[in-house]
Amino acid sequence: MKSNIDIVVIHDNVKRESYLITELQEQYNNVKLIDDADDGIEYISHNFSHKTIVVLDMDFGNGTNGFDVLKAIRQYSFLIEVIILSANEPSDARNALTNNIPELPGLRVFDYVIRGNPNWQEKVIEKVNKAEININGSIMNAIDSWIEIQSKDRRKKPFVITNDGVQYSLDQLKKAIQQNDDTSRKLEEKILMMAIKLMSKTPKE
Amino acid sequence: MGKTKNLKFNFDISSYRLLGRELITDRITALFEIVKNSYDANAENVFVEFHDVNTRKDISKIIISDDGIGMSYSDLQNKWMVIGTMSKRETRMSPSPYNRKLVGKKGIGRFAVDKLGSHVILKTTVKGSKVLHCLKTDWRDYEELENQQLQLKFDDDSFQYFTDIENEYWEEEVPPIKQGTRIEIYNVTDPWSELDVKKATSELSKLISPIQTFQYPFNIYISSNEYDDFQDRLVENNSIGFASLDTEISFDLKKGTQQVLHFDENTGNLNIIDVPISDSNNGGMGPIKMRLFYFNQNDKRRFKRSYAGAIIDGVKIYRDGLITTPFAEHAIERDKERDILGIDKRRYSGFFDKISSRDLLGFVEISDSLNPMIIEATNRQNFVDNDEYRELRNFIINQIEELEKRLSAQKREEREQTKSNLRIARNDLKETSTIIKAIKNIATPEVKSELGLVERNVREIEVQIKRGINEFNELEKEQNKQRDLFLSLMSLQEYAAEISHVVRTAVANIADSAKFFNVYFPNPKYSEQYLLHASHIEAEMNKLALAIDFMLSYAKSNIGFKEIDLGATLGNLFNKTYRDRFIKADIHYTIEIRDSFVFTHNVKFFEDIFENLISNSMKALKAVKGPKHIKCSGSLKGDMYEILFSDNGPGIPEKLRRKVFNIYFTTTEEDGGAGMGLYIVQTRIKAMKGTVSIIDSEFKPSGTTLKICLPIKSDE
Repeated sequence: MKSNIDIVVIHDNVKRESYLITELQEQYNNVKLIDDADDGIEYISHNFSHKTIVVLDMDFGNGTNGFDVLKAIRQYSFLIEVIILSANEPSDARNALTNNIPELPGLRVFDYVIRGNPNWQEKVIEKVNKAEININGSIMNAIDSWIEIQSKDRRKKPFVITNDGVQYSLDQLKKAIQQNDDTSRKLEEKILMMAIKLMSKTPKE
Repeated sequence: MGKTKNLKFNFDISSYRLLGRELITDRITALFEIVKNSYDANAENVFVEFHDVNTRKDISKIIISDDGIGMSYSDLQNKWMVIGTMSKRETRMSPSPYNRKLVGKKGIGRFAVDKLGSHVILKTTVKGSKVLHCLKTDWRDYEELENQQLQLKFDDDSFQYFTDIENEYWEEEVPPIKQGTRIEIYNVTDPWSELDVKKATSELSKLISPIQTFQYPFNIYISSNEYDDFQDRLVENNSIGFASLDTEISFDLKKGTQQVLHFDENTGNLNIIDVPISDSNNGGMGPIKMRLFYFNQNDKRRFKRSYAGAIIDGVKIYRDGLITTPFAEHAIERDKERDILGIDKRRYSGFFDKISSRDLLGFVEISDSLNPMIIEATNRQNFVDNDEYRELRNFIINQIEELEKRLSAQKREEREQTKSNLRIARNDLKETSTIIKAIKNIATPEVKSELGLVERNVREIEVQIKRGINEFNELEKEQNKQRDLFLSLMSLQEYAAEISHVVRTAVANIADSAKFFNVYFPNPKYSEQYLLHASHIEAEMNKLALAIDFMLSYAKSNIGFKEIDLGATLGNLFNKTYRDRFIKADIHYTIEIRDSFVFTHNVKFFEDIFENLISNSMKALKAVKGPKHIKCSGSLKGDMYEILFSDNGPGIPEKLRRKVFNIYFTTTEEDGGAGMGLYIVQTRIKAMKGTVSIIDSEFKPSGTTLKICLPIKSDE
């Protein structure tokens, strides 16, 4: 069965009939190809869902480039996985992998593939598959999906209070998760810590 | 030895791998981590001892001991043996009165030990206790188990967990005044040469800011029974002693002032001036102390001679005297060090005047109380990106820029001074000649003949100095030329990257089509696509051929640089090379070069720009029914020379303007446009450090105007 996760390829050198797109369509129901960076930003702004994987070019010639698109994506959500596909070795992308762009910390990308290297299409597909596992296995994505299926009323009511006394409704929590802000990071950290504590405290019989 | 029993670590493989081993990448980092733990334990002294480590032997051992608060039996059991408690994360400060900000990684220092040697004896005690708690761990047992666990034989009855491994525990007696922790590492993993120990010393010296005085000292001593230089040697950061330029800025809380560097162009001095403190209560970064040490080539050589293995590595931020975490992790490979403050990134914008982090040591002092919003990110790789941190980064870069201004002024000054000294020497000699002549008139014949000899010598020296002055001037010119050449080579690098992008894109497209055939042919579902792919392959091959032609233009053209007079060159191109073609095509042209502009560049490359522009305009003008115009004007605009190139063709729609410089982008395909023209124009102009853009047409409402700006280089 094909996966329902959204795949958006934003690239000016990938054609609709290309092997990459054809093969992605064999595996995924929703594959969208956009050949312009500005159109890519436009599309994401109207259609973003946390269950999206974006395959992104860096170099669109003059004007808006892949980083602008990445920045725009991150404005909407930190849960969207982004795979960079560029003919250049993107040092900025590599930096993004380690969260280390001085001007833009936190612009995380999932991975990058150099277009033109041997078997680049397989590599992209492999990364897309991995990103899908990541999305499905992410604690934050799980919480985000769970919030989505709650009733509107419930989402508006206060749900958690942080140690500093700040109150969060589910809607606010959802926003925090998408922005990957301190609260959401702390929440994730605490859930992980709890899991580790539980694991380490389970006595072996 | 007192009673013996066994203790078990309370964690499982996943946490062992997740939190521990994979975060410690090499042994110097490991040592660094253990010493950081001592700091967190309020130690004032840490002793690192290397015993017989030059070659790996059975007796090799490393001992790290401190006089910190140590651990009680319950600490050992509930903290040391339990991963995941992360007691450090809950209280960010070490116990009072030290109140040190904790620097150790998330409780993984104990794993660092594993990197140094597999067999460990930990001995620890707290103040007032008479008992020394001793624990023996053999990490090999864990490694073996890890290998077993990775095989995932869950149905195996003999399956063991990490928590099953027993570690021998016993107690010894100590005098009650003693406190602290001692880690003895046996079965040392790698030999430590003297150079390795020196490197470790150099790394450890970075832990503490050399410009901070602590209320409670933190001293690290290194000793070795094999290396004479290391006999309880105090680890100190002496690197700054070699710098030839040292600046320091601070602040005054009472007056509310922050010192900043300011280069005064009139006096050529680097002054320190007061500005208001950026108040942390009002969204500011807070007051900053900073010292910058600049190393020129000589300083660097002396530094390297004295500190084998040490490096000059830029600006680091210290909080309350101790290095902040983004800088606290050692990188084995120099190139993998991260330019957190963005100092080196600036160099691409102006190679010649910028200082790199390899010329500079800087110590920025912040504190928890005065700079509360400068926060290390939880991933320890950077700082939290907030306004305060951005302000701090700009502040640091600004100080470096003032220093750069001072250095380039100094260079200019030195050059001028040499020139003027040479001139003075020549004048002095002239005067000497005159005096000799005067003396000769009244001297005796013997003296006269002697003076004749002196006169000849003086004249010879005069000639030599004159030659020296000329050579100096020539050298200066040559240097400027070389700088120009270098700048264009830099853009060649950019160009090479671009060409490889083009070739890779074409190759990737061809490979994609080939793959399509390979995987899907002859599946009838895709029968329409096969034809498309065949034509894609052909088109991509043609693009590759064009790219090769473009590359060949570099190979064919004379790479030599010479002086170009803009007006004369354009005049030549319009009035001679293209005149007949303009007449034939019924095109009227105008050249208006108002200010003269002479620069050094490759003539062919420069002509390429205008040949492509003219060719584009001629193609565009084919569609025009009425009068056809091409106009080229040039004039000085501030420190740029501006050229406007216009035609009254159909123009370029607004939304395509940013795309027209892309390679292979064309709107005149039927006229043979291949999308290379404006790409070449842009590449060539970039090589001259200039810019090109499309602006509103001079021939409104139709037409196209390109604006080219070229920098006018000063003779610095």
